[in-house]
Amino acid sequence: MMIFAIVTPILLVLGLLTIMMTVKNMGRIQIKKNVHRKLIIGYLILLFIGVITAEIMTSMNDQEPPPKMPENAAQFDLRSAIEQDAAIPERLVAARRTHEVDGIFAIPDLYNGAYILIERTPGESNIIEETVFKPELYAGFDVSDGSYFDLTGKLQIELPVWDSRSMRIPKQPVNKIRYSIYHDSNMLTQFGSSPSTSTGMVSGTVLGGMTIYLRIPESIELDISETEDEFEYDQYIELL
Amino acid sequence: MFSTQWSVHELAKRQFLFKLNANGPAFSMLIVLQIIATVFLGGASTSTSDYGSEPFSLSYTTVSNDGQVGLTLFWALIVGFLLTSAAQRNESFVFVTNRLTFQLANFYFFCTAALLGGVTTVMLGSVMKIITLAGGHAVIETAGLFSAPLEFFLQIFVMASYTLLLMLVGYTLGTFVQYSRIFIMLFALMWIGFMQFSFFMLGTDTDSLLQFYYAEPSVWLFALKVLLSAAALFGISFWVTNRLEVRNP
Repeated sequence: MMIFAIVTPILLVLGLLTIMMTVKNMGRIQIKKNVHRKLIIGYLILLFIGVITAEIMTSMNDQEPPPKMPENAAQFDLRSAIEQDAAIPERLVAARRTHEVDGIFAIPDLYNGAYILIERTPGESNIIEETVFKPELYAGFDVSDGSYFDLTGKLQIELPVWDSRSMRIPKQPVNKIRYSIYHDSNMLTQFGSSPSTSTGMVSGTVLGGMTIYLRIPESIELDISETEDEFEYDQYIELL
Repeated sequence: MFSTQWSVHELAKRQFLFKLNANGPAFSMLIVLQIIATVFLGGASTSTSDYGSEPFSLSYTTVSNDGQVGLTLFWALIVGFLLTSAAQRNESFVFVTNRLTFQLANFYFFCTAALLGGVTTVMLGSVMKIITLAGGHAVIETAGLFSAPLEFFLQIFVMASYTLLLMLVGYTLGTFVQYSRIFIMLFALMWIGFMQFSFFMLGTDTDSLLQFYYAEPSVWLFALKVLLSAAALFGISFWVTNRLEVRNP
């Protein structure tokens, strides 16, 4: 951005000098008059071709703008909601599964981009209920109506891999979400139905990581003490 | 007694056509500036940001034709100003003419130049769209010629109106400067004062001066405002020109 801050004024000054010199010396410039006419006509033809091309390309482009986040829905406190058994928005739920285990359950690799919440449930059962929550990704602050864009649905996550005795969290894929947004100058869209301001994707925030909520019956023995790093244990796994 | 009786309109039209031919480089310059804006300043109206860290990241780029709009308006102001030069006025002596036809010819010229500026700037927006679409993952927020033809032509109308206004502002300022060089100093002081005032009092009177056109939601009222402003500016410059010597050095 720094380079533009330097280059733009220089270009403007050069532009000003060029206009002034050209227009002042118009009479002395030895270019045939119909050269200008041909240049203008050629330019208009090129622009017209550009308009048609852009229209065709736009009609073939199926990229939709990101959905708007429901009002006051950003920065959802997932941990509190789980603890208080409150309703959790479905947009955050990546999977709900159940798994049958053989008496002992282990989580050998504690951290791989996930946060694990374990709740022990009373009763005799060998079924573990698993709910995987996506990290929340929201972007921008739309100046037109003061809302965020919800990009949570765009995130790809790798679900935990289970066998009859353990759960393993695979390495999470790299999510590089990219958007290029074109909008006409606000001055031109003064009377149009198009937004008079850009989407306002002025910042992006990823809230939390993937959260795995496990409801494990007390009859199943837990084996999660295999880690050698106590800090890692405290940080990424929690018993409710 | 003359064998041919020329009407005012006919005289103004002939003079206008002459001006159009004589000022060809001004139009070529507009093209050059718009190309410069597209190639170089395209980056200035493009902002890219990256957020988040591994494994999640979001990057977005916003593209617009602000650069082209800005440079076209800048061109309009300068061309309007330069059309009041002594050389330009002396050229009118080639014709059997008077102040009225001279001013009318200038006005026709401004209208034509503003229309060309409006059409080319709005059409250049499509070129920016192509550039955005070529980059992939593009969201086009504004409608085009096929999807919303009325909006497209409204954009041309708005751009042409602003271009015309800026040309007439430049023309009026130029006329005052031709009348007396003292106005250069006066305008410079006014500009500095305006900038200072805008800086400290944003959201008040100076802001509302700009909002007078920009915040107008009705096309008809906007057109009326532009028309009245153009008439006022043109009237002022006509009044000042009438007080100038016939042929300036």
